[in-house]
Amino acid sequence: MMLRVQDLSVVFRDRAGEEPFTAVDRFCLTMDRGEVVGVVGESGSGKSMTAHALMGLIQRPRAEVTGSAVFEGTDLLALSPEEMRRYQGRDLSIVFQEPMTSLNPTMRIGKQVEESLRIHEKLSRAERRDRALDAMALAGLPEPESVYRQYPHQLSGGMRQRVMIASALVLRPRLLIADEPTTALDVTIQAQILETLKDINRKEGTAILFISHDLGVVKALCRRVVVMKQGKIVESGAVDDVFYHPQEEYTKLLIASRPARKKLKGGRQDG
Amino acid sequence: MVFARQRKQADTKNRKQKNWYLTIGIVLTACMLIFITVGFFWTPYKPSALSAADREAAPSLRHLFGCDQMGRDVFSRTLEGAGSTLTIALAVLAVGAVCGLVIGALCGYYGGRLDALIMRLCDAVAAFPSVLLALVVLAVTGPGKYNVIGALGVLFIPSFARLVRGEFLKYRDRDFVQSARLMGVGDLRIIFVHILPNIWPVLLSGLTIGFNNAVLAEASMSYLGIGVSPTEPSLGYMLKDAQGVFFTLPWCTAFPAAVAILLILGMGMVGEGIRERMGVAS
Amino acid sequence: MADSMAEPIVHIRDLNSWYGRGKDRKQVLRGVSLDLAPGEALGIVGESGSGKSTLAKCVLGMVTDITGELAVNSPRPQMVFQDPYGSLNPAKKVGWILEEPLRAAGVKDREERRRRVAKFLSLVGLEEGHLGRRPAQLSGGQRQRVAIAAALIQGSRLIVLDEPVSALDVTLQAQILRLLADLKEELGLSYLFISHDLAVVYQLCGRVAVMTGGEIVEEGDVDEIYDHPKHPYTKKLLEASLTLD
Repeated sequence: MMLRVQDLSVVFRDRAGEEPFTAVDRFCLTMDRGEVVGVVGESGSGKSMTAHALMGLIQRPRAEVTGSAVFEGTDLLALSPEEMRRYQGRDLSIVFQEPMTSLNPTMRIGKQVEESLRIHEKLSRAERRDRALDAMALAGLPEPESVYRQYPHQLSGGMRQRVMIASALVLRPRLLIADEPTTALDVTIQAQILETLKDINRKEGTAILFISHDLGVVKALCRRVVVMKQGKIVESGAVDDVFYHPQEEYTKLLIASRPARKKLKGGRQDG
Repeated sequence: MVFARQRKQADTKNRKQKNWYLTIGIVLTACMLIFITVGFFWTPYKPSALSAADREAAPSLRHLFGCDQMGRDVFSRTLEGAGSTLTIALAVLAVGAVCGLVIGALCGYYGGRLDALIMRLCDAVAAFPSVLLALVVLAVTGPGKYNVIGALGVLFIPSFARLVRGEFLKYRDRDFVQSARLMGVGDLRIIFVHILPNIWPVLLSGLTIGFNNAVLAEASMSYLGIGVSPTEPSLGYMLKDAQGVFFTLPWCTAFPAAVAILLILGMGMVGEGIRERMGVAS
Repeated sequence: MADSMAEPIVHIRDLNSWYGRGKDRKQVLRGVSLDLAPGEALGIVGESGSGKSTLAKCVLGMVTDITGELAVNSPRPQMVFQDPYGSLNPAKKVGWILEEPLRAAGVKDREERRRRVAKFLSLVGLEEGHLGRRPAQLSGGQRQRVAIAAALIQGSRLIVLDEPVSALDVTLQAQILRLLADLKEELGLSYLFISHDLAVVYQLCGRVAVMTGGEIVEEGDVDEIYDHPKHPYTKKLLEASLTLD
């Protein structure tokens, strides 16, 4: 087992006189190497907060993170920020939703992809460049050499997201957390990025924890899924079981709400 | 969504609890306003009355702020001076803010060539130190209360126009403005009824900064001797008057200066408080 | 088919539009033709940059640099925007927001305005209590309901829906789509439904036009297009849309 999360809770207690707010409530999950697991939920379900907690991206003074997340024998939640930094990017990486704001507009693409190599490994410039170009090719960027020298504004949204994926992959992490990576993109681009993620999973054996609000996307990519609502896990299991034989009312509602191929008839009597 | 909303409510509550700037600022400003308003109707002595017996008297119960070298009661003079400083500052602010608001709103909302022209003009005016420009204007028109208000008021227009224009640029293409246009709402109504209420917080905080600048500008001009007439002293004029006795009669300088500082401090804190509040609203 | 319609509420032939001025002037729409019959819902599907939003703006008279034929046979067509956070004036209360279109339309009598506001408030499933709230105090779904009521209250029969549910959670999406279907029936509305999502369009629209690069590449009955797409781009779009089946 690669990752075992037990009773992960995130509670915000930073406001005096306010009720503590539980963003994530006793989240549990196990992941094997090379597995692709989806977490679905609507806004406010705590799915992103869970991902951020695992990556150590929640600042302690603002929130209380409890529970354990044992990754390859180390409890990530027990690590100090400095120790955590050695894991971030190298063993586990994250890709965010917004490819527009996640890149530094004044830095060439190549430099940004190499950034974590510079922090974690001592390599010559040529070696770094080779590793970056490899990662960019893996992320499905056409002509990595020319993209390497470009600036973010010269790329489309889909290309930028590929750059983000490349920089997340450059150190060959064993776990990639993808936080709504395709939500801001057009559907045809989304389909291509999902294909790329599948390829990466197949070729490199990278496990992916895929956070999304879109059941269709999760279905296309993952074999296992966790459904969240207001910080709690509602239902989890194999994608086929959960989506085709949902046990919980909320899961049923989520599935029924999806735009399916059915016509809505006006008039409230049948409403 | 639930999450975001709960956080926001909590934040708002918290800001309200902790917004000491606004509370202290309002209390301080209110005290100053009461002090000044009293001065309009009543002063313990006639501010210009000379009393040979009390020349150079130190602060005491009889003369709270002491007397100057001519035996005039500093407390009474400070009351009156603060009054005329406040009136001038408010009048300057009114001229600058009203003209600036109208110009900025129209430029920001319509844009185009006229906007570019007016903004260059504002740049040109803003490039000079305002007191220096006012000096030039007053050299032509001669000193006096209304000339000071006119000269400073005009010089305050660019900064307000710029502030308001920036806000209108931000709002003119928002969906709710587009939607109002589609509904057939007139441009002027969109400008003043739909957009203006959204920029009140920014405008208010701009007004507090403007007020402080106006107080300082008036004081500097009076200090340089081109402001109000000697029969109607302002705080700046009193400071100029007390220059020669700074070491021998420190109270002649200290009290008017303290009143000016408190006035500016109070308003500055109100402005800071509003900006802090605004962080939640935006 | 279009020629047999009695009188279309929107009639467009060979519409071209440009954006920008001088050297930067770029053509956005290229020879777009379409008709919308009264009471019909037409979906315009395309990805970002396809020109679908520009087409909507043309219909609403918000784009002036155009050539071709464009006739809109409805007083003051209105628009429901994608982002319910941006389409309502944050400084005003719901009651004011709903009365404003009536004031703009010259309804002077206050009681009359109140009465019409109350009617449309209940039509979109909101309550009297919401009138005193500001947009920031409403949920995304409630805001979109207010936006819909504001768009309808002047009595417009043509409503342009610009991705009206894309910013909402799926459970809310379903509710708002349901509401739009009901309102269309009850008030006899015509919709021009702009979306990137074929599945959403399918639920509400009888006909769909697929746009890319400023052109309509395929247009027709939704079932026909779903089952037998002809243009390669339509096929690509359909393949990319992910369903649970």
